[in-house]
Amino acid sequence: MKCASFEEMVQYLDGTSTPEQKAALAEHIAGCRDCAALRDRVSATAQAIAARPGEFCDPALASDVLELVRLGQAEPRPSLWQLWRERLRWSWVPLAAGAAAAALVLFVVDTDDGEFHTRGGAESGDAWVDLKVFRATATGYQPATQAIRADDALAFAYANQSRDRYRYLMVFARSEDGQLFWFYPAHVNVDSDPESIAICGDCATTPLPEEIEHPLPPGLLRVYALFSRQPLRVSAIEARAAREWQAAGAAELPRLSIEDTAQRQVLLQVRRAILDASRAE
Amino acid sequence: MAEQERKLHLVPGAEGRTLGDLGDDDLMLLVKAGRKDAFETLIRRYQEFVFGFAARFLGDRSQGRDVAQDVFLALWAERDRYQARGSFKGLLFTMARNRCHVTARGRRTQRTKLDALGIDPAARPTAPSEPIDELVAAERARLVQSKLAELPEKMRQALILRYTNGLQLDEIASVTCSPLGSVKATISRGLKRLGRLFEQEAQ
Repeated sequence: MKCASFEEMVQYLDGTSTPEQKAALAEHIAGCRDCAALRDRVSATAQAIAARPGEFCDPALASDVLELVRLGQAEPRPSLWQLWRERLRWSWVPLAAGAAAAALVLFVVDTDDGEFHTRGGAESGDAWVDLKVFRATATGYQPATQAIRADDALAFAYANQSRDRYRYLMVFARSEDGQLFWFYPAHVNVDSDPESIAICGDCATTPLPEEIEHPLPPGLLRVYALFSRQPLRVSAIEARAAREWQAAGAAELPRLSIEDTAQRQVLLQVRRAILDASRAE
Repeated sequence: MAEQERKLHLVPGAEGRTLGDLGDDDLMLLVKAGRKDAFETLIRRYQEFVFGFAARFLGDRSQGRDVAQDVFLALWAERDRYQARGSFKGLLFTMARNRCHVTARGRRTQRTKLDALGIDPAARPTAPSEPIDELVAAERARLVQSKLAELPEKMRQALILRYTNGLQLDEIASVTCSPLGSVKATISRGLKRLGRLFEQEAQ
């Protein structure tokens, strides 16, 4: 027999060659140094990936899953789209009423100095916009209305009925201890200074694309949505937040005094991660 | 023609059998009826498969465990939609692979953040008393993971299913919905390529 090809050696070691082929190759290997070396090489490569006995045996996995099932963490949930569709049926009444009231008091003054200014009635645009927060779980999304867990990934949806007035959005959160957590724009590089994301100027509830997880500290968390006409920089908002919210707790945050923006806030209670909490009980 | 769902009935004769004797589809029928003991049997039967695949695929034991937990939670949540077609293992594999992709995407973002701070997430403090054998094994595991990660996904997937999970070739063909010949060729090419990567590392 001539020397084995790589494929034939794999089949030999995998036990998928015919008994005749196997016997012939075994006999050949006994007298061929090259084929013996090839056999050892193929075998070592396969062994490198193989699991060691018990390497992935984790008896606690089943009990952890069953505990989470018991705690209601695996109940079927509607998808984000279903939630949004459902929400749309109800969200128009207060949104429309708010927008009508806002139109009575709104006025706009443009400035050229590039600085932020507070203007009378600037809050009125708030009624045209909305932010919804969802917590992602194993199988879908749940509206985050009051409490979330520290290890929850969060997803967001916005509504913008401003008829192209606001075209940019920032979503961030401030914890009780004063830390800022950025969701949109993503602030992944400390040396960068990203700006607001572009959004649809006139649309009903619209999902933002990602689930985002931050190491949130337990306690109150104020999620903040900032809609603007022009893109804003993260550094500008952080500086302003540091100045204006210096003494404020998360429970009561004054509106940021930034000209021609619409702002929405959602207050959440962050609890300990689910497994940490259940084990501590 | 679309594959028909098997009709499953719990017959009186089945009562004397233990849950461990039942097939996957039969157990899922019980799970659909809310039986957590049947669910536990399925988890124990497949936890090593899902955990092993995800951990090797991601190159991270802890993330692999999270994926496995997530897969089983999703299985419970979606139990009513399960269709008994004799492909339970394939379903688990698909769920695990999809979640691995999501985890890997999230990890890329995290990696960028940590890069900015000059932190290496793989660098973990080593206790001075750690036996030398364990250190060697850990170093070897890191090498294997880094080389596996260089392979195309289908190749990596096939190698993990064959050598980490110990699936037979026809089983791999079944769970990945690929022709048997293609599985054989992929594994052979994958081993060859991985072997070369190891050799390059050794030189």
